[in-house]
Order: sequence, then structure tokens, then C-alpha cells
Amino acid sequence: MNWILKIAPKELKLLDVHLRENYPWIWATRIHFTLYAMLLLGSFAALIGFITPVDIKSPMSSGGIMTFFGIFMFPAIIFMGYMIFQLCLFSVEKRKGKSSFFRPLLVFPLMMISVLSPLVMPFSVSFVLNSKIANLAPKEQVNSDGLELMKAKYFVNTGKEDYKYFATKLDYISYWGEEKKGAKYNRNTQDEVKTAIYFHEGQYRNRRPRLFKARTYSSYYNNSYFYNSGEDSEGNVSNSVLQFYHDQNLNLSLKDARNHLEHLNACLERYSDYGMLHVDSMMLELKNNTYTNCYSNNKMNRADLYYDYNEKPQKFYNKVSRNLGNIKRAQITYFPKELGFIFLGFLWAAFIITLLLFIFRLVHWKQFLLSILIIGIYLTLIGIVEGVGDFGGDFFPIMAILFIIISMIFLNRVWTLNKFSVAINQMAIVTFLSLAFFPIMILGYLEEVLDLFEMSYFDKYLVLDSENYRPYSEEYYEMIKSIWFITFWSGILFFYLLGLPYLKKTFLRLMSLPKKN
Amino acid sequence: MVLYLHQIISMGLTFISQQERVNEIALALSNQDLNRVSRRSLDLAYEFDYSEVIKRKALNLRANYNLRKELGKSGNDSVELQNLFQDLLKDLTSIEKEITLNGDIKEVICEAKEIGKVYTSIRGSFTLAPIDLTLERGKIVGLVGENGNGKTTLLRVLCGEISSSDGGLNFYEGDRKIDTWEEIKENIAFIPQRTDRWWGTVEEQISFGASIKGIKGEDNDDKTNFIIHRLGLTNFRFHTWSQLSSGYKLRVEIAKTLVWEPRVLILDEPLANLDLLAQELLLQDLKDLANSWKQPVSMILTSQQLHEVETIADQIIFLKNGKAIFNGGLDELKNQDELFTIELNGSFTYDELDLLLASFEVRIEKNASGYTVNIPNSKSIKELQLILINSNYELSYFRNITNSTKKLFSDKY
Repeated sequence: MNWILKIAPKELKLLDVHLRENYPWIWATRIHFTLYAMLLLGSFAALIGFITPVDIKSPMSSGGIMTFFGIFMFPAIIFMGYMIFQLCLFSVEKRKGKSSFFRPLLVFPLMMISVLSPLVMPFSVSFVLNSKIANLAPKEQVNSDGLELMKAKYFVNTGKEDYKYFATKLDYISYWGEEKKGAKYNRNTQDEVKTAIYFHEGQYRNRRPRLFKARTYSSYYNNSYFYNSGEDSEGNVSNSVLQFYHDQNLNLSLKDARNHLEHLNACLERYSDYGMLHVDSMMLELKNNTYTNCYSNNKMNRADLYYDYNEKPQKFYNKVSRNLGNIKRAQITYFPKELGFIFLGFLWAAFIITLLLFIFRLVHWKQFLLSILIIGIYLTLIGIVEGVGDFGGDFFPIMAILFIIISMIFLNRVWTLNKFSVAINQMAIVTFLSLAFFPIMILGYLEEVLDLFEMSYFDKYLVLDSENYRPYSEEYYEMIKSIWFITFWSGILFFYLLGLPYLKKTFLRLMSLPKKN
Repeated sequence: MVLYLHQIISMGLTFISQQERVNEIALALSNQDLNRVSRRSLDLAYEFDYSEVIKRKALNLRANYNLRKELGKSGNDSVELQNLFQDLLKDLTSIEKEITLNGDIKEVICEAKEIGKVYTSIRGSFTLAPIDLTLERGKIVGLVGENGNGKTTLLRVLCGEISSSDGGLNFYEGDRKIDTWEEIKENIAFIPQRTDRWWGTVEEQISFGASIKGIKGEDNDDKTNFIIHRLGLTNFRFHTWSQLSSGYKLRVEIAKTLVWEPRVLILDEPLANLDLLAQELLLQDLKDLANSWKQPVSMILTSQQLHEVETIADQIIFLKNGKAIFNGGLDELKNQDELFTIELNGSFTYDELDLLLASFEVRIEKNASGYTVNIPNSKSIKELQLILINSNYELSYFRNITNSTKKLFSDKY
């Protein structure tokens, strides 16, 4: 990384010499150069974020940020490859340097950081864009506008699915009680509404039926503000909005309606470039008790380009709601939610890459490639046997686990060897690659093949009178989840704290032994 | 070394003065051999642990000499530089210095007893017959022989890269036998003929090599500078692998190794890619390192350059078809048979030479570069020289190889 030294400040050059002369194992991870390079490239990415225009009337959605993220992922991946190459260049172990038993505990995370660091680029551009969007409007204003906007939705017809038919108020009130228990919206509601209109038309000529605004999960979920802001659980919907809908269903307030429709227009002016809705005509419709497919059916709110009568207010409402949602989402998170999953994915990829790099620094590259070949052939063979034979999916995991167990057992012979053994070296590599995941593999095998969690011991968790389709209690599922979680992380921790230093010592022993030829 | 030893045996410690080194530097300076002066001054300053000021001065002068060479100047013609070296010599002699000899100079570092190696493959087999070898501290063992006779195999066995089929190999640290290969390899450095590619700059490689062996901080900086200037790498310290010639790549390999002061240095064909001057310089450096009082390095090296190796080696092993047909000091070689072996060439033909030496009971072999003449040791070499000089022929080359392993290349052996 001499090119970095050429553009590095004096302090970094001094640090480079200091690390090389005093902490060669840190120096070999190139962490100081990596972090500096990432500071520069991350700043560049951030600058791109800064100069990218963000407009309150059309704030970038998480998808837009993801596009920027994706663009910067290309150089990040290339740089990651470069970092992996850099990490292969200096090996303390291959040059028979002095090393303490627990040093890998520090080297491993440093290597992981070096591998992961190029992600600074896409994340910094995303962070800057997100921050810019978040600062388009004050938090308090966005929160209050959002809440009021959700209430305004009651007065804007945005589709038949928002309505539900109840023959009487009592039926509705009864439903309100049931829904509180968690009943979900279903698609048939639309047909119910349609049928209800004709039914009522037949019974009450010239009078439109009273339809109730549905207060279901779906009606909130489909609200752009709610959806875009990342509030993805029903529990997060403000109770005040629910109560407002309920009150309006029971007793429509035209005063409230006007207030909210005017507020919607204020929001349209602030957060969109669509123009305004005609409040008076919408109020007229409300007064006349007009409903689905007729709602907003007047010249003031109807545009020739719109297919359906109610498309314009729906489109206007959704636009402002979506924009506000984008700002709200940016205010409650540092990054779009998807990036969290991407980061986790890269974290695990970096863990695996670091594992491979660690082995690469401890074995000859030919041995390294041989191990990949052996593992590949072995897994293919047992996969074929599994496919051809009738083992019901049991053969593959058994043989894979057996392979690891045999490797672990024979690995201990390393301490009595006088000559280098290719077989033992390969077993060390297999153990190294699998040790972190061995406990979870065993647990997976026990559950999938031997149905561990359905054995009689767990019968005490059976809930026989449950209406739920799941036969066990919630406590049982929580416990199983915890067992998986603990097993997984204890495997990782065990590998990191003991496996890593021990296996490194094993490789150093193997590396020092004379070969046959 | 023994000649100038000013030994005071006191409480089991051996003290050595700087006088031998000083005399050597003074002699080189009087002959304007500033290359030698700069290298040995640096050795002396560091070996006898002079003050930082003097060390720095010696280091700067050596660097100065190297830089002048880079500029195309010989370095030896600089009066200014000569005066500076005179100054340095004064500084070096102004203080009486003694060092404590670290350990026994006769200490055995490595002992191989009847080690052999058998290779078998579908293409054939090769057997390296059992060989005995004792490597003492600061001694140089030269392995010579034709290609494919097992030199590299023996080296690889000795450095623990491949296992031996027979015999035993022991390494010692003082009286203690080193048990594990991990520890043995911490003391041995092996430089193969074809070295691996490395990354970064020369300085980074050398400094990193030292620090991973526990040489940290200022000591690391000091040792890195010393080895860079000492081995003539001043002008190449920021060069990368691809910017170096094969000769300098070898120098860097040696520097990377010597900076952490191994007890045994094993080199496979170190002279193979070097020009004549570089060979000479390297051999001198190797000899100097082996003769260091503070940290003598024992060496085993292979080479095809018999004459050059013989000038620095304390012991020669000649391998032929996997067998050591000679194993010992060069003076032992003389007594092996009752013949003098001479290489010569001149304006005469084969027939004319045969006629000229008819009075001797000679056996003459013709080879590409001239003739190899074997005469009984009842005759003297001076007699032979007189006949040749007094003849009408012009003598262009004459070399007595009685004490050289070169004669072992003959089919007679």
C-alpha cells in the first residue's frame, strides 16, 4: 500500500513505522492504511451525498438511497478484494515470527475490520443522504403532520378496501371489540362493501348506506406515511388515530373533516408539488353521504387524465403521505432498514473470509487449495450418495459431521508427529473451518434428524386446548429460540477464545515439521 | 582471529579488544579501499558497541559511500571521504574497547550423524548416502559437487525442510540440546536458490523481519539501518521486489535474515546469479559475518564456484552421486593421494605439452579451458614451473588445485 504513504500525512507515516517496529502483527493487518484509505474514500462518498440535491417536495425514498448504496458497492467490493490481497502479503507466522498464544484474539478482529472497512463508502453516502432527508423538516412537525395526515385519511376516499359494511351500529361496535383481539383484514371485505351498497339501495331507495371506515392492520399498513416511515407493526400505530376513526365511524364530524382536509392541503403545499385539493367539494360529498366509486366525483377534484373518479385525491394523499413517510423514516433510523440486513450479511462474509485468510497465513497455498478440493469432493460424493440412496436426508449431515469429528480426533496426533503430515494438516484445516459452526451443526442434526425438541421431555410444554395451530406454549418456542441462539453464539465464542489460539499453535507446529519430500 | 585475541580469562569470560579490526581498517584505508573501510568500520562500531555518535558517523559514512556508488563514482577516489574515514578511524582508536565473547568459540551448533535421504518415485530413485557433519560456531561449511548430486537435498534436510531417511540431526544452544523443530527453526535461516516474491519495500521487509523476531523500537531502527547500509542496500531501501536485480534480491534475502541474527545461515547457490564483483563482495561479507566476535553466524552453503567457496569455507563436503567423497578441511585434501594436480594453459598444443613434460611421469587431461596435469609428489611444482617458463611457449594460466576439491570432479574420484 505504498501509494497510500505517498498521500499520507506525516503522522500516518510515523504511525506506520511505529507499528512496523513495535507491533508487526498489527502492521501486517494493514489496519492503519485501511482506515486512512477508508477515511478518504468514505469522505469522498459523503461528499457525493452532500452535493446530491434533496427536495422536501420529493424526498428520496429508501429505494433511492439503496441505489446510491449499490453504486458505491462496486468500488467497495473491488477495494475489499484489494484488502484481502493486502492481508495475504505479510505473515508473521510464515516468517517464523514470535507470537503469543492469545494474540489471534486481537489479530482476528483487526483482520475482520480490514476486510469490512471498504463498506464505509456505500454506508457513508447512505448516511449523509439519510441525514439530509431527515433534516428537511423538524422532527416535531413531521410527527404532528404525520399523525394528522393519518386522521385526514378518514375523509379521503382511497379505495374500497378501506370500508367495511355493517348492517347496524351495534354490529360495528361488536366488530370493534372483536378486532381489538387481533382479527385481520381480509380481501372479501371489498365484495361485502359492494354487495352492501346494492342491498341498501334496494331497501332504502335514494339513501346511501352507512359504511364504516375499516380500522384494520391493512388500512394502516397501506398508508404510505405509515409504510414508508418503517413503522411495520400494528402496535406502533397511534391509538389516538384508531380512536379517531372509531369516533368518526360512530359520529361523523364535518368540522373535524374540514380541519383535516385543510391540513391535508397545507401538507400538500409543504411536502409535494402536486397542487391542492378542493376542500369544499370534498365536504359536499361528505355531507351527501356519497361513498365508494362516487366519492369526489365532481369536476373540482376530477382530472381528465385520471381513470377513476377518486384517483386524484387518492393520488394526492398518497404522494404527501409517502413523502412525509420518507422524511419520518430518515428521522428514526440512520440508514434504510435493508442496509442493516446487508451489513449483517457482509459481517458474516467478512468472518468467513477472515477465517480463510487466517488459514492462508498459516499453511502453504497448495495445502490450502487441496483442502478446498478435498472438502468439495467429499461433500459432492456424500451429496450424490444421499441423492441416489434412500436415506431421507439423514446421510449427508451424518457424514459431514463425522468428517469433522474424525478430523478433530486425529488432529491431536500433531503433538507426537516427527514429520509433516498432509492428512493431519488437512484435518487441521477442516477443523479450523468448521469449529465455530460445529455446535450449531450438531444441534441442527439433532433437531432435523432426531427431532430433539419433540422428545417426551418437552411434552410438559404442550398446550392441548390451544386454539392456535401450534401445539406448544409460547414459552416453549421462546426456549427453543434461546437454545439456538445460545448454541450458535457459544460456538462462535468458543472458537474465538480457545479454538483460534489452539489451532494457530497446531498450525505452527505443523509448519515447523520437516516434510517427506 | 586467534592471532589478535587479547584474551583475559577472568571468571570464565573471554574479553577481546578491537585492535585486529582497527589494523584491518587502517590497512584498507592506506590502500584506498574505502568499500572495505566503510564496511569494517561499521562492523567495528556496532560490534564493540561504540557510542551512538560514532555508530551514527560510521553508518553515515557507509551510506555516503553507497550513495556515491549510485552516482557512478567509485567512492575510492574521494579525498573528502578518505579524510572522513581517517577521522572515523581516529575516533575508533581513541577509546580502548573490549567485548565479552558471547559463549564458547568452539561451541557446536549443529551435529548431523549419518544423515541420509532416499527418494523414490516412478521416474527413478535417488539416495543421499549417510553423511556426518559438525557445524561449529562461526564456521563455514561449503557443499560442492556437480548438479544433481544431492547438495540441495542435504541443505534441505539440515534446515528441517525435508526429513532425513536415516541418521540423526541435533541442534544445540550451549550445552542444551534443542528438542523441538519450532525452536530449531527459530535459530536457522534458509535462503533457497529461488526465493519467493515479497511485497512492500526493502526497508519494510527488513524492519518487519526484525520486529517479528522481537527486535523492537529503536533497536529495530538501528539494526535495520545497519544491515541496509552494511550490505550496500542504501540506494535500494525504498525499492520493491520488481525493481531489484536478482543479485540485489539475494542481498535483500540475506539482509532480511541477518537482521534477526540467526545462529545458522544456510544458503543454496548464493553465487549463482551474481557477477564476479558481487560474488567477491558477498563472500567477503559472509566471511566477515561468520568471523564476528559478538554474534558469529555459522554457515552452510552450496556453490558451483569452487575456488571462491574454498577461500572462505572452513570445511568442504564434496558430493558425488549422493556420496560425500570428501568431507573435511582443505589441508586434509592434499594428503589424500600422492599427486599434485595442476591446471594450466598456454600457447602449446596437447602434443607439445606432452613432449615438454616428458621427463615427468605426468598424466595430462585436456579440458575446455586448458589442461589438467597430475604429477607425482616426488616431483616439485617449482620444477614444473621452471620447465614451462624456460620453454618457448607463453604460459597464460597456471593453478595448483592439489588443495582444491576441483580435482575431485575428475573421473578418477
